Amino acid sequence: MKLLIDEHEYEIYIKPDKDRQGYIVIVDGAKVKTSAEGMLIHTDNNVNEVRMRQNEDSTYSISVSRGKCRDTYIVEHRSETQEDDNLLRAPMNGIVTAVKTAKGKKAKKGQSLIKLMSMKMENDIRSGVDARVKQVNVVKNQTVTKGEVLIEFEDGQ
Amino acid sequence: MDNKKKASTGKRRTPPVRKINKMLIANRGEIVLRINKACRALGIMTAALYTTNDHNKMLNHAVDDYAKIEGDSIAHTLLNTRKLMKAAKKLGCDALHPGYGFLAEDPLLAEACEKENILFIGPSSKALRNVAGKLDARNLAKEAGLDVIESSRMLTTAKDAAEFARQEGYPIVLKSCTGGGGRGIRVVNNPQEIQESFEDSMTESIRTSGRNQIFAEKHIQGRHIEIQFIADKHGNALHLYDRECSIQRRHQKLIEEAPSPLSKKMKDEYGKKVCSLALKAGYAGAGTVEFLWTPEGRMQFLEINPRIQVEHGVTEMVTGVDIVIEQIRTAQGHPLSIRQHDIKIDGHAIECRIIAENARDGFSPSRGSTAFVDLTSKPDEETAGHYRLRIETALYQGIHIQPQYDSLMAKVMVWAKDRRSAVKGMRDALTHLRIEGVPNTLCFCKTLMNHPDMKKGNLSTDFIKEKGLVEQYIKKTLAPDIVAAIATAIYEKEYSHKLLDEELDNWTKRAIEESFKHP
Repeated sequence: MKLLIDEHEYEIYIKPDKDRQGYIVIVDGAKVKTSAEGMLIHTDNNVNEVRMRQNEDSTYSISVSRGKCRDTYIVEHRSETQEDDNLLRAPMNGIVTAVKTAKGKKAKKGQSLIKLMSMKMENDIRSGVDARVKQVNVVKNQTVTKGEVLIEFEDGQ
Repeated sequence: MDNKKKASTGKRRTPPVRKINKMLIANRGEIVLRINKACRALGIMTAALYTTNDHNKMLNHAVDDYAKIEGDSIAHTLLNTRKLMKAAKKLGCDALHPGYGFLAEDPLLAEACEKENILFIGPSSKALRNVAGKLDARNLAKEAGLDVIESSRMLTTAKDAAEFARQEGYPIVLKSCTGGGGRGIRVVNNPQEIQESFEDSMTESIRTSGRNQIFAEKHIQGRHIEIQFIADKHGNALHLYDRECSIQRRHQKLIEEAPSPLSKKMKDEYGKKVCSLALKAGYAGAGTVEFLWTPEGRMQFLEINPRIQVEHGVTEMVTGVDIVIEQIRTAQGHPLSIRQHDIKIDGHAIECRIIAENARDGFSPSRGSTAFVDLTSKPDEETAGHYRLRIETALYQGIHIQPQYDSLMAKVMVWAKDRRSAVKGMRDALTHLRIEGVPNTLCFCKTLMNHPDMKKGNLSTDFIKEKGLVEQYIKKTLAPDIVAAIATAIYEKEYSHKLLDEELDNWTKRAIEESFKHP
């Protein structure tokens, strides 16, 4: 399975183990045995208390506490077939402060197409491809969630 | 004893003391509660505001009265002087406390209050005009004998910025002329970056302060030191010593402490200079002067913050002075109730800002609702005697975090007899607090507290980057077996349906049940 944890991508192999008591998980070449017991998830040497909630944008908020550290992760389970090349997504939550392109216009790779204000910083959202804009999904002053599609491009030639 | 002229120098006609019946606290979040507390102590009634998309029920419970201001953006609510005035009158308020951020440093708000005969808790509009513009403040600072970083005049084009950089050499930093909180700050390392950085800094300045005013200064590394002062309307000023706020992310403070490592001689010298600067500016009220302390030992003036600051609490913990109460009283026209020689530094205090940002993702802002919040936990019995804990927050379970506002969720402050014990106490305190459901800096602050150079006090404004702390934190919190645990949880939910699809309430309920099971 492909997981995006706080913008860090993981290709994870997971399958139930022989006696169906737990799982074998392979992460970054490391093999970890896990088993779940309600919200307690045992890994090799640790017990993790894991709580999760599905957010409106279909990501999960997952809190993992181990020992004295409790931390919340935003996790997206990406389907294997997802094709992202023709989509420009919001890299973070924020408010659109400027739309600098329109339907039918050409965009160059690296060109700033949208300005997104997050907290007190303004960020340029740049095109990842050379392509023509098929559709702009946002307008000025719109609040967007991380991962939301801002612009769709036409298929490249 | 309030009205006795014990500290008056008697030079000028004493202004009459103004009574306050009800105060509008024109802000949001924890600072509303903090100001509310001070008003309670002074017997002043309070009122707060809420908007359609920003409605914190905890605040409404705390104050005597509240009203809604219509509008869905900050520009139409807390940044709108006309609406604030209207709300103040509607709520029957005869005073207004702006808190920090928003319009706290805006001479126009102070002026509007003066016109409407509403007491503005802060300096007069005239004094604000003298200090709120960073370039004007620099000239005043020079006159007060302070060392000022080389800076440009106000910039109108990117060419002006490039010209300044040619003279002074890269890197330079672009800044908004008004407003605090690292607004409009862009570090420019080479000529290629200048056009874009200039545009970004300019748009950010316009957006946050409504003014197209930016300037450039030489970019210098060092430690961020600031001095807190209070002045009254009778020509008295005193300082409450220093704070260090070097630990920052994205040019915004994350950890603050009092006192700073400045020598006693430097503290006294700069404290005095700061007081004379305040008097020169005709300033009454609480304020802070920020400096950059360079590795060569130079204290370079940065700016004056003419308002209460987020980190005022650490100074209160080491001096025992309630800065907000003094701020209100001096605005009323009371003379300062304390004198310089009464101020002693006792122990050491550290503050960690718990903010709704994700350190694993470049401190990007989080959003969503909090699922589990417990900020009431007390330290263990064995450690309880070694430190004092103070938490200021308006956070509660289920509150919605919105990216358009400041990301501060809670301020965790620890006081102990010395710095070492305070760092240790903070580590302990952070382990007892829980904020779940929304990524935040609680664990990252713990990582910081564990760093050997934090313990030793070897800090700089580039600390987080220099020590690779984000990378360390990512490595630790995304260790293969944590990722495996996350994968297992998702697998169980999506394929085996063993884990309950926990809605917010469920999550909360279970957490409470758990805490009963394991007291």
